[in-house]
Amino acid sequence: MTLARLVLRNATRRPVRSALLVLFTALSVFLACFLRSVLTTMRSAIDNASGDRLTVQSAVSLFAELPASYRDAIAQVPGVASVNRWTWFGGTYQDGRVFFPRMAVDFDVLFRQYPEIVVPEAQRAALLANRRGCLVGRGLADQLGFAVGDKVPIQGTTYVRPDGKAWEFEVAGIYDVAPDAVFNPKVFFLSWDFLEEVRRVSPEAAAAGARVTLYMLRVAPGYEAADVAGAVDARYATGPTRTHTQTEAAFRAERLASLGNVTALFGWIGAAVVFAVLLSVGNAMAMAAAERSRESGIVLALGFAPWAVARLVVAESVLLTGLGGVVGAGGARLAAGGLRRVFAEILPIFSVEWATVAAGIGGAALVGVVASLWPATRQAVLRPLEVLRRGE
Amino acid sequence: MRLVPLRYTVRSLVVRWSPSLFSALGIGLTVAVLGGVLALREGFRSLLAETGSDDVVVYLRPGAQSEGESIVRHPQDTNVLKARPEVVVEGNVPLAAAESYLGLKLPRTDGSGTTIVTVRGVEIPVSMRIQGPKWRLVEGKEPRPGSDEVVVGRPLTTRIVGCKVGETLTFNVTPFKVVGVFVHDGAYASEIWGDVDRICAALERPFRQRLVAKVKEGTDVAALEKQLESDKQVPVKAQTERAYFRAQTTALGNVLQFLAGILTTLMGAAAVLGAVNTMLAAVGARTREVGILMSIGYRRFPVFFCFLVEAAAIGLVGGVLGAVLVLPFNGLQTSTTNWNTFTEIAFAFRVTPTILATSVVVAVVLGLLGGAVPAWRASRLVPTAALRRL
Repeated sequence: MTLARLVLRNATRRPVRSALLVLFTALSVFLACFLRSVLTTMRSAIDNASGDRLTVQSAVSLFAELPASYRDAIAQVPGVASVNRWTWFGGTYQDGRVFFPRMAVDFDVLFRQYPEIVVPEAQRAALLANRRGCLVGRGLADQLGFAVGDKVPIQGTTYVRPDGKAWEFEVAGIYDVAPDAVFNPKVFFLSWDFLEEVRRVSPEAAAAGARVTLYMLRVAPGYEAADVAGAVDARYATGPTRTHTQTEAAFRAERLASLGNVTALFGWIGAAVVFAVLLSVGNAMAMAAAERSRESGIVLALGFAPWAVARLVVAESVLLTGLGGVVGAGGARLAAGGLRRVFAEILPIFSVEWATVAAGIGGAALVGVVASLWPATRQAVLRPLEVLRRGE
Repeated sequence: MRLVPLRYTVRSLVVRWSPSLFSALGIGLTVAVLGGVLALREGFRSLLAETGSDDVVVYLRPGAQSEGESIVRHPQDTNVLKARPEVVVEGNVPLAAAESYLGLKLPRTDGSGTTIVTVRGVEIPVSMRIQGPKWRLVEGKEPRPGSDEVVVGRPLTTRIVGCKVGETLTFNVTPFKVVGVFVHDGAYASEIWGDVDRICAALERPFRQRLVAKVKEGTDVAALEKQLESDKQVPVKAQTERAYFRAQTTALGNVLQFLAGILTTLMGAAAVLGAVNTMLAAVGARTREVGILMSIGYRRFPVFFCFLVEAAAIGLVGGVLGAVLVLPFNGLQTSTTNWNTFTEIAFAFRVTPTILATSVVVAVVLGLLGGAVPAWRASRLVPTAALRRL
């Protein structure tokens, strides 16, 4: 009988226990892969950012806006190919329980700067023609059931309608995100021209003046992003409002950092999960090995080396946890789409990388080795005569 | 019907101490993670929700969910609100302050980049008076009204660059001098306070974000809220400070609740499987004993119950272990971002008796779930067959 067959026989001797062990490991690996994927998805959003797009914000605060007059001056800076005015519209949708970002932009510039935002040609034309038209992401459309032509009421908070009622927008386009790009699929874009209209009808908005949350620049070919950023910031170093220009990657990194120390929290939880798996696998293997003390004694008595006995236990453990790892990590990969839908509110983008799947399987197998070391050693150091005499 | 004595259960556990303890530890780890996340949520929630006053009213723009997106016109609307009848007047001064609020990007002292700190423009000394004994100066002095001076919350002095007394913070292009350090028993503890007119000038903000006032005893805030919502002159959303802060915990609170839920479900399911394994092995190893118990007259139910109690005991030990693991976190200082305002806020883990009780109950339930099937299997054994085995 080969080693492989012996291990397989041992593993299937108590099918219920082995199945439970595989299932248990699979659940834990699934959880660990889920946690790691949240982190890698965040990182991929940073890695995937374009190198030739720059954001210009107030250097003072994420929530302070810049004067709208900056646009023309920024456009004059050498190396700036185009400028878009991203402006936080705020407001609430229905009872405010469903949150999605609402941003006013220049649609023509948005389409030029973001080739990864895919919108049919007819819808693009409609958006440019209709001041009340809005562009929503596929993720948002699926979540809230929006279709082209639907009316969407948004209660203004920063931009309040003079009669106090909700503003009404019309879904003029739905965007998809290009397959290998990372972009939030749940943004609600409205037209900058609509803000101009608000300022015409609302004396209060007019008094506040036109402000822009962030300028999105595209760097012209042949220019270094860092040089262009430096030139923009130098222009406003002494005010009236200082600017902070950075690459889109740095901007996304900053936004993620503002969510707090998620990495550390997930690290702690992950450690607890791994430790729990270690305990449970070790426990199961110790029970399995103890039941077979007699057999181990016979094997030893026949003259096999102690490590031959030990490796049976280790191999069985690795087989079971490895199988659990394959089920758990593979399951996480397959479930990524479903998880994204279920947790749509919290995770607008979410994907499970192959590296995570590999780490899950490898980690599970490694846990299998570590957890079985103690039970295996105990089998290896058995005294054959004693075991056989015990008559178990 | 006679039950199997508890002594038998306890002795069985002790004899098989190693697998029992390991299963208990597995359950313990699960409920420790659950308890830890709940303690995080509780610390955050209690700092914000339980320290707001019921006799302080916050007036925001209708529809605004937080100060950050609220705009109150100054001075026309703020003056109208300060003159409202419910506001307490001391001497000739109404205890009402028009305050500004902005989260500024400031560098951390540990070199890990910038974080967002709330800079609040306040009316000196009225804003401090509204807070009463909860707000205390612990170092230096209060800023002079109309000056470019600020006081900082104590947690900031070690975490943020330039927050020690005598140092200078630059807001946009205007330098402000740190003249004092304060503590607040609540949500304002991690803020920077300075003269509202000077701060609004430095940050080029012509508006105020809220009006806050001490209201007379017996004011019906619910009625007030309804009345002011539809006010023709100055429509505002009025709510008690406590209600306001409670609403500010929803985003992070929901995320933590969600995290606690998913972790408990997955880790709990895994722990149950571990417990099933242990109990199956326990039943398997004691097949003969079960046969003996049955042949001396114990019925199926007592046998089932006996093993279920054993599983519950494992869960209980696990719950206690979990509680012991999570207890040291109590009072541990941490800081996180409040997802409603995206500002950083310092608070401590709070392990409450409720959280400990929850952990223990969940642990016992996990033990029972793990023990149900093995116990049922034990109770189905046929005595003669069980005795004949081995």
